[in-house]
Amino acid sequence: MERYGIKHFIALVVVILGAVILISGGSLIPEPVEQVTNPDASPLDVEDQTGALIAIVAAIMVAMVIVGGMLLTIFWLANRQVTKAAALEYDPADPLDYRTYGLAMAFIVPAVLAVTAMLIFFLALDLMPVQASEEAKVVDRIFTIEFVSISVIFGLVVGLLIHALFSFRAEPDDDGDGRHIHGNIPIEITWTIIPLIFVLLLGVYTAFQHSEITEAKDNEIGVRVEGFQWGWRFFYPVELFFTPEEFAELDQRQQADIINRGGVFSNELVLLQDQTVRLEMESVDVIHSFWVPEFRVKRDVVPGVLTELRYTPILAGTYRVRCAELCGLNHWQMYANVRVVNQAEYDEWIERTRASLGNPVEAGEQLFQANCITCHSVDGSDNTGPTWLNVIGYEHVMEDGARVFVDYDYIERSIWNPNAQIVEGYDAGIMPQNFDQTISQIQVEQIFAYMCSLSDRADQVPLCVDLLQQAGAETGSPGDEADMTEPAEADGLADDSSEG
Amino acid sequence: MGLLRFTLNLRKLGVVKGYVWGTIAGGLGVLLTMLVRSAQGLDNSWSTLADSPWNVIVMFGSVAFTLGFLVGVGSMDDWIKWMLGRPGSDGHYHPKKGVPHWHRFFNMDTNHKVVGIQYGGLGILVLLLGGLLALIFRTELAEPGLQYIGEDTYNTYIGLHGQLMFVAVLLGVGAMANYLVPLMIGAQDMAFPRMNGFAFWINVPAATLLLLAIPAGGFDTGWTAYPPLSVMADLGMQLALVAVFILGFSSILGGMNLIVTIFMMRAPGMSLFRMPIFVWGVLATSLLQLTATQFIGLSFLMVSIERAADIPFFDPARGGDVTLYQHLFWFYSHPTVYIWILPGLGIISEILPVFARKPLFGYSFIALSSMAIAVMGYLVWAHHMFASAMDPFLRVPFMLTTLLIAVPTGIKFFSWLATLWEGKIRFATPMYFMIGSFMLFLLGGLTGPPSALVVTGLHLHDSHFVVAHFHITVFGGFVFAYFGAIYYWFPKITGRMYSEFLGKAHFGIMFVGFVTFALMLFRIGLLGMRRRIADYDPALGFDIYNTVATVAAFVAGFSILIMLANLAFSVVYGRRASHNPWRSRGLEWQIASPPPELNYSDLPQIVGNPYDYGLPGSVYAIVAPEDQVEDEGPPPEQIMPAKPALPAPATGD
Repeated sequence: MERYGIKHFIALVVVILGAVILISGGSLIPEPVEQVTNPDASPLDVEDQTGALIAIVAAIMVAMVIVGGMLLTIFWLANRQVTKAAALEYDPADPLDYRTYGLAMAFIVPAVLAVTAMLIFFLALDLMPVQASEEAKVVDRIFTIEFVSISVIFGLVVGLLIHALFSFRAEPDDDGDGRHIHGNIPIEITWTIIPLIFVLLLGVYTAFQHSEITEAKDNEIGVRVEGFQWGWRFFYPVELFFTPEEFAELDQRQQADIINRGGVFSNELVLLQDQTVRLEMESVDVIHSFWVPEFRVKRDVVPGVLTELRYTPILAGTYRVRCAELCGLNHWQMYANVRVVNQAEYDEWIERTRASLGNPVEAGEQLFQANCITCHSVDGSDNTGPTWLNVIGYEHVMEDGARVFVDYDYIERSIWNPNAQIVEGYDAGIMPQNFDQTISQIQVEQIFAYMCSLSDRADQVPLCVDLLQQAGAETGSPGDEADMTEPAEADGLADDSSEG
Repeated sequence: MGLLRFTLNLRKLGVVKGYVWGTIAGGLGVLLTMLVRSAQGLDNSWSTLADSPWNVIVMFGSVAFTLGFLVGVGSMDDWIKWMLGRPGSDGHYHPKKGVPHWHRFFNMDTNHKVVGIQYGGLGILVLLLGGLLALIFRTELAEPGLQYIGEDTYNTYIGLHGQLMFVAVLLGVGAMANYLVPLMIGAQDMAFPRMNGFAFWINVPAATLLLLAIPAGGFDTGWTAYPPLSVMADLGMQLALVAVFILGFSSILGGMNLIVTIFMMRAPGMSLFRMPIFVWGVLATSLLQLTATQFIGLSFLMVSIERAADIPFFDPARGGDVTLYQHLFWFYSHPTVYIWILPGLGIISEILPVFARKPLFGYSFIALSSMAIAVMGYLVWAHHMFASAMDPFLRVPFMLTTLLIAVPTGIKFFSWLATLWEGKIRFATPMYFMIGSFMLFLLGGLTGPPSALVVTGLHLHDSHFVVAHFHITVFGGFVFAYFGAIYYWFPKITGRMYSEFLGKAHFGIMFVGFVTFALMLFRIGLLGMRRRIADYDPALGFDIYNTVATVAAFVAGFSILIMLANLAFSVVYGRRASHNPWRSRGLEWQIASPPPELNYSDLPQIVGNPYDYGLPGSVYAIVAPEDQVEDEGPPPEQIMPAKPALPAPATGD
């Protein structure tokens, strides 16, 4: 038995075990909750975390003892059986070359620690975005299991590899061969079956967790989500905003619009804290994918198929939905804001949305935020498409040299049939061709009203004057509809980054 | 005068004739299609937009170009002669007076060693092009904001990088399989040598068409070409789709050829379980190539037909289904990663015993695990679609099948460890690459379950974590193994030794560069950086990791230049190598370096097991006396202390 250096093997496994427990401990340090970006964050239950921490560390230690013991047995058996079976000349006076035993230890400790440090640095510290939904809790629980397993297995295997390379290296003048060991069927079956059981357990556990995050919850609210190149539109149930009587009192075109689109339009996804939302998603053009990293789970938004996704937000704050499936030119900036709010703010938002339905400028700005902001600026800066600052009431030069006075007809044509006339210096075929199906006439009018509010020559166009008056009547301050505070506000929203 | 003669001689090169014939045929194809369209009163005006009439014209033009090229290069000469009832050539190489020897590598050739080198050369070229694109868009990502290339160029480059690398890896696999398999099994050539040459030359026009996608407007879909985006993409998409479709033929024919070769042409005494383990890897890969490639061909063909002829396979408004494409696509494209890595894992299993001087631990388990991976590779495709419109209840069965792949892969790792245990390990450049391969593939494999377990997979899907996962897996399972194989067989291929110092430098620089790159990508992926985005929000805190990743990518790219310099220099000026510098038991090492034109003048006899290192008196193969080599004097390379001669044949194993 001395021949196989069993003591040395035990020492090796103990060292690796220590390092690995260190890693695992490191990966379980609870992260500080990002209070700065989420002032309304509900403080996490600290006691709960500590209990879980202790349980997990204990489980790892038990697992490591089992795995370590198993490996030990495997290698010990491998050598013993082979010695019996191989019928080789066995000379105890010729011990295997363990001359480097001490040196090997000195080499392995730093090697394993380096691996440990690497994993802690890259995998354990500040690993994920802030945990903002119930689903994120489930996902992060499984992530913890996975990263602990990865660290343990990687540490063990690489530790053994480095050790083997070092201990079993040939002397420079030694041209002999290693021991003639073909294999060992029982051991090979063992290391087939044990991973099999491990992955199956992991898989079954995850399957249960998966149904937890996908199943229907009580008191859900359904929100229709429309993905398009390159932005998001949200449609909330009418009942949230209007009683049937109130709805009947709305403008006829508004009513038709809401019924056609399956809900009241919003440019941002506003969610009530602790209430599950069921997103019913559909795309109007190509495949998109709905992902809020702080909520973890994602789902594709596909043309022709209604896909569902459930979130239960638990942490108030502003986040962003980001399209995760390449969807063409401006894919990377296909964003929309997601606000998780408390009941008071939620009610306030409902009230504001109701009011904006009667205010064309405000409604137009919301439409701009959802549909146009990726390619058009409102502060005069250049982007994929022309800016909207000081457009209405001006003359523009087209690609074919024609000069066009920008009024309602021109704007309607540009939205519904964008390739008809291209402004000089811009490319045809970039702007989506399907706004005639997704933006109704009243919405074009609202967008036009918003553009009017951005122009200092709005008084040149009669319809602008009417719309701005209507907007002024709604807010009760007819004087400031055309001033420059609107673009500044729009900018503020656009730059409002979600992350912690 | 010399330069003039050199230039004039170029016209005799097969590849030049191929391009000339291809251009003429392609031009005729384009003209004919335009004529037919004009006759129907259809518009033929040039445009690169998605609804361009050139979608049809380019499709026929590309097919004509490919056929013209294949005829021009001479890859169908014998078949055409046979069809006309005339005798073909004898299929052997006959040096012609006045034609330099290097011309051989640019002509149609049937010798498997030449074809293997052709595969390897083209593979490295495509690898460099794909890597160059990667460095360009990696530079763009180094800091927030669009500095160097615009969004459309970025989107084109990521897709083209994917498809070029896809081709490069398949070419690399072809290089290893073609060069080594007949040598390893004791055959004089492949079963169908003419088809072998033909299968290689398909790659050249196809790769050309793929590159033409850039001037044709590019495509902004990524390499997966999901409709409806691929139906709406620019004309470059059509060229890429047709190019990949054509490439599929090379895979299918090559796979078929290798299967027949392995089953029918092994030397006497070589039972399946006495084959070198690399041949098992190639067998598993070839079975996948032969039976899976049709699906990517089909899915790409359907998209190109939808673009060209407006048949709405994938248009939901007209009864099509976009998810169908993803099923068809991944039914090939998941097995394809096993096509890439199984030969690489075979290389690791092949080279470790030589440097550990110890038998491969658990040969039959390793061999059968390759077959198990190949079979199970078919049952996991939908794990690429966890977030798609597929019904969520299907996620769980596909998660379980995916996890099961960990079992045969784990067998390989444990067996490799046990192979090293109690060996007498020597370190040379190939061994370094095998160790790097082992560690990277381990980390790549271990980061698979987070993506496969559906709950966490829904966070990681389409994030940079997945990008890091498959890059580290392919680097571990293919790139490091492939480069290690190049160094290991370099003395056999050229008869000369490479520079050990530069080889080790290449390994060290590439390993550090690539590991840093991959870890950075894991990091930003978990933090929520999506795939395929041209730019990102600086507020997310990705920028420092992206900068480091870009620098690391350049470091890894630089190391490839070291390798190329090393190999190019060593081919000409390297020290002469002995016929068996590693003291391997492998059949190919028992004959001269470089191997004779027909490898073995008589069939070798296989009398033992391939990896019986440490068993005194055992012999694997007896080659014919006229094939045996005695090196004059001591071998010049002392990396591996050499034994004086082959041990005397012993009975049994």
